[in-house]
Amino acid sequence: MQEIELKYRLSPSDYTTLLNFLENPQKEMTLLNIYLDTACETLRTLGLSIRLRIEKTQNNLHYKLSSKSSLKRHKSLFICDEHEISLSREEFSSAIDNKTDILKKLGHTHVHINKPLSPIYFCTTDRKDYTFNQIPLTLDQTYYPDGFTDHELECEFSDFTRSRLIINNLFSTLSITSESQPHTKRSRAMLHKTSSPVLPVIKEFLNE
Amino acid sequence: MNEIIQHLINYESALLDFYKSLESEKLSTLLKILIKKETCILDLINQNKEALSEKLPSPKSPGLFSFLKDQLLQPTLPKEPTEAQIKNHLYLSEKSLMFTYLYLKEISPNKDLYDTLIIQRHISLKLIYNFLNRD
Repeated sequence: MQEIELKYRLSPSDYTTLLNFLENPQKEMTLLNIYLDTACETLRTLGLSIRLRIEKTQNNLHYKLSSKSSLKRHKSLFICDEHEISLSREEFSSAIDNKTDILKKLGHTHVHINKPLSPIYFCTTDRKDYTFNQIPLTLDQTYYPDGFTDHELECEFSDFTRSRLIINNLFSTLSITSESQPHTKRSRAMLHKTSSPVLPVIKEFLNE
Repeated sequence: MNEIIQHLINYESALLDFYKSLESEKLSTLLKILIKKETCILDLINQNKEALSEKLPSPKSPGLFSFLKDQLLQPTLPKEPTEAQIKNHLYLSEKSLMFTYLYLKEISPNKDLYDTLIIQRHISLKLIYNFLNRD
């Protein structure tokens, strides 16, 4: 499936302005994003990103596995091939421990790697979903292991012209500087990684 | 230019003057944004009045002009209005304009232009709505 979205980097104050303007999100969740690769980052070299994600809402936990490839971007527009599947808790643990053929599970049967996949980067995102003027808007506040925090607005649109028009109008009314997001979350997680292991983070995230 | 558009320009100008005339310390941030928006909207309408007029019926056509008159509230308020009265009036003025543009979009071939005006109004409405519900 092709994922097409607009992504804007926001300053902390612009994020707060949008948060106050949009008010009452339709959905709120916290995401733990764990990126898998070999120690020498073979998948990144191949332009493939594999992510395990835990979505924590007020009452539920969802485990997901996804791959993104063939990323193309122009300014704030991001297009890539995405494949996402839901996992059970057991399947998630098995994937973290490299006991599953993840690439096969995601349909990447043409990709062959000799080294094991393991968690190499991670980040945590507070996500809020809204609908404004019939377009979906997502506000993300993401925390990285080195203590860095960033903010972005995403719009997974069905009508590019209309979505861009609404976002541009919103930015100009609220005096928000329009800045295209220069990096994917994975790249930012790589930029702000530390040597801290991911397993304690997962345990803490699940309040175990 | 169609007389309906002229009527809307007059109304939008009156609304801008109305915003400028309002003095409220509590609403100063909101009014500043609304004045900026209203100025942009007026520029947009003035720059595109011929395109916006395209295929609009004569205001003398039965129904349409009275519809507009009914939709567009006169931007007047009682002397020394309360904050709540001001906010409520701002909301109703913006809402009536939005419905007018939604109506005109249906009959105009220049749907993108009307859509831009509707989006602008929608943002103003949300700003006022937030202020209405804040206190």
